[in-house]
Amino acid sequence: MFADIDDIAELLLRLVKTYTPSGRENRLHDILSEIVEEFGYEEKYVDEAGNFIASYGEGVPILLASHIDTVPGELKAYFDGERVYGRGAVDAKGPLLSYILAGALAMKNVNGLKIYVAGLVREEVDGLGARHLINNGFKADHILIGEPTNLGIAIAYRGSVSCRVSVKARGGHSSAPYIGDSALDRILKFLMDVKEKYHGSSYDEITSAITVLRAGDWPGNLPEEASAHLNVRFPKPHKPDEIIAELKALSEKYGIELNIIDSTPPIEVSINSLIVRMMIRGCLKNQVKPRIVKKTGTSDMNLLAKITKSIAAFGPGDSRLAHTRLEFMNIRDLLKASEIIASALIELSKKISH
Amino acid sequence: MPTLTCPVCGGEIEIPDDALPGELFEHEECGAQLELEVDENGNMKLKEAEEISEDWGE
Repeated sequence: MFADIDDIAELLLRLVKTYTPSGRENRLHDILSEIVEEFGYEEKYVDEAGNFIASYGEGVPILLASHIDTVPGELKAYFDGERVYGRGAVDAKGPLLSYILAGALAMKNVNGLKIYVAGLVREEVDGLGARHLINNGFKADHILIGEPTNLGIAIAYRGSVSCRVSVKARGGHSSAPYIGDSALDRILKFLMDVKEKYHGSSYDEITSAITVLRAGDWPGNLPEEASAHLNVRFPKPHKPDEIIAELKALSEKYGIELNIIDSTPPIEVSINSLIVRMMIRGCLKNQVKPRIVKKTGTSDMNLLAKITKSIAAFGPGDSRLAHTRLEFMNIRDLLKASEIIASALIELSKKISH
Repeated sequence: MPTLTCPVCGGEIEIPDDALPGELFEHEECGAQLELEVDENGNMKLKEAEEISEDWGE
């Protein structure tokens, strides 16, 4: 039932054609319910947050978690015989489907494990789905996070602080800016200071990105109001509180109002952790050279590490396509990811039963 | 469990009995990332693993 590339492409197309920006994830619940039922999962439910969760087996709980929301911007969904294109194909409906298939592939060969596959909500916004699992005491001894890693095993994600900054000023005429007071000039000075302070260009450094900037309503006026959204990413050992304190000090210097929208700590686990080792073995058993990666971004892995430190992210697809209009998923990569994860689950089952 | 030598710090590292050629391990004492090599006679040794690469997104 797994060898047919066309069948798998058809399943992914169903997921991708159902447009589910954050907040509209419920559109996918019935389709996922049909798919997991077809693959023999024993139980399925939607929790209060809107997370879709399917499971089978009894024993040590293992969570395979991906997300069912996408960034906004619907794209034409189609299959060209090799790749499925469309919003969410790579981030993260392709990885989610690979997890559903992996669970099904491993089903007859795992003992002593309870396998959960979860499609979480609002990963692209505030991680509400993952936070709901944590706050409601969801238990799992080992967790895999379904994100596009191009079959790399991700052991680290940077932390993130997102904030909105705003300022009001007296304004003035553009012909004499030196006697006026521009809100835009003030916020730009603040933003340039932030960019200078956090000017990193790799995983190991702190980076900053201005993602939204609004100011001005007339070509001849100095803006009386300005606002921006800013995102700072940082690796271990930096902490969100440290970044927030630095941003606060800079905002006070320029009289800028600072509102923290979201803060998430960085996560990094050892390659000796059991789930990482099982994934390494899963790769080797499928003739794939294991490749360990650190991700510059932030995902549900940062949050779900509160449940267990035996956690890693893994999935098919090129992460550079995520959040772009070019999203696609190679179906053979998706199938290979499923086979690697299924092997890892079988290895884990053997390890735990001994 | 076989005990091998870390090629980075010279310390000892225990490898699980079921370790596969190509498996990766971290030497917790020095933090080195190591790869298991097994020759045609079944002799095992560790070499430094490829550097961890960077990936983007999320």
